[in-house]
Amino acid sequence: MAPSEQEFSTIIGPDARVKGEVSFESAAKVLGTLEGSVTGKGKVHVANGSRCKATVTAKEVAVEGHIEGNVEASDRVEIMANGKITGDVVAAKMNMAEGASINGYCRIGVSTDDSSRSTSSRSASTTEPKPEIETRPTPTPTPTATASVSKK
Amino acid sequence: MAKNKLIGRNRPTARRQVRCYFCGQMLDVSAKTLSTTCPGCHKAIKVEDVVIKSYLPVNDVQTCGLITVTKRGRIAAKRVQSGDGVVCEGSIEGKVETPGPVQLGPKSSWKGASLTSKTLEVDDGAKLNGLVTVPCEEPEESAIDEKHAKLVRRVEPPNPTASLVKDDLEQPESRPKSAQLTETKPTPKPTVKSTATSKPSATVAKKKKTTSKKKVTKAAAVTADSEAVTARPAMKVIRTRAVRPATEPTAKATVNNPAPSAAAKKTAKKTATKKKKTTKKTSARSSKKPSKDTDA
Repeated sequence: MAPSEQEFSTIIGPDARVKGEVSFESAAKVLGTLEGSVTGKGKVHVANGSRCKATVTAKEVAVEGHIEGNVEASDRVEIMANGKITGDVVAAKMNMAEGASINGYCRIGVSTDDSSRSTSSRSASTTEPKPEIETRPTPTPTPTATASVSKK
Repeated sequence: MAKNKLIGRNRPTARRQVRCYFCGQMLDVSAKTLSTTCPGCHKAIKVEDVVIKSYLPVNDVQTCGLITVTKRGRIAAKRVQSGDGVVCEGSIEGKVETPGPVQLGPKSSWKGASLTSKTLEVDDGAKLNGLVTVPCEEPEESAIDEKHAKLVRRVEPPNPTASLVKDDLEQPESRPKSAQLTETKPTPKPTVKSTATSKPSATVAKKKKTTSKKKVTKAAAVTADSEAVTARPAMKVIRTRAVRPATEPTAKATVNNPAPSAAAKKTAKKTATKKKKTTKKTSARSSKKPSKDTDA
């Protein structure tokens, strides 16, 4: 316990109940209840039994308790066996133990640049064939019309 | 006892329990079974493990076994359903549904509408994009039984005696799961029974129209219904055999017997008159012929 707690410069105790915006410069461990938003430059550890009704944004997020809100990690999200996330997860890497649960949209390993590229490429690809489709139907009705007229 | 069982089966084959991915019915199949028909929904289901080693663009990839996607494998499907789980080292595009675990390797990728599984194991480097629901909500046995009972009720005709069958079906829900599993298989039988009960009444109704004597048919119907109620736990074949002889021969015996007697009388009279006429004619001819001869 002692060495792991030494990693965290900030520890929010189990009796603590915080509402609002909380930001950490380094690693932090949450044992109590948090409501609002949590922002950290290091690791944010949501311990077993704790509950976060907040959006958590950090370099690394470890979930052993329950997070109700979106989680965004620039590096990694780790969900332990008792961990539970109800919300969207965006991270570069994810590690999920057996028994962990997620209920939300996940975007793992897909950087924002790639997604923007893919969306742009999709939009380009969708816009390109449209004129082709539009040009094709236009010649088809004219021959039928001429044919019908000539027959008459 | 155990020895006898082993002797009866010749050799103990490995068996496994599988859940139908269409209706959720549990099946007990051999370990070597590749595909089978679900007794609940009567659809063909694949039981074997599937390994995808190359690009596979399909609508659905469905199996009760394990789906393995190799490094070069790629699935582009609307839905990927498996019973035992999904192991992916390549890429999957589409909705993934499995009650088992999903493993995504280090270079794997998944992209789809939703991923529903019991557990999800994501290695570093794997890519996910879509709605993830882990763990999935497993369908309860009672819920499946209710579904199955509803299907059975749809098939049943509106018969007052059918309420007994319904009660028989509703009973297993309150019982323990082990008992339910053993009793889910015979549930289709009551439908057959109920249909079997309706058949004799229909045949009797037809005979009512043909025959003028209603009392006899009513009595036959009552006997048929009473026999059907008493013989409910029996199999379909037994019941049909038991009912048919009770209705058909009695109706025939009571209704057909007077008709042949009257017809026979009429035909006998007709034949008698014809015979008389013919005998008269022949006698007249015979009487005329010898007279000519005598004249000559």
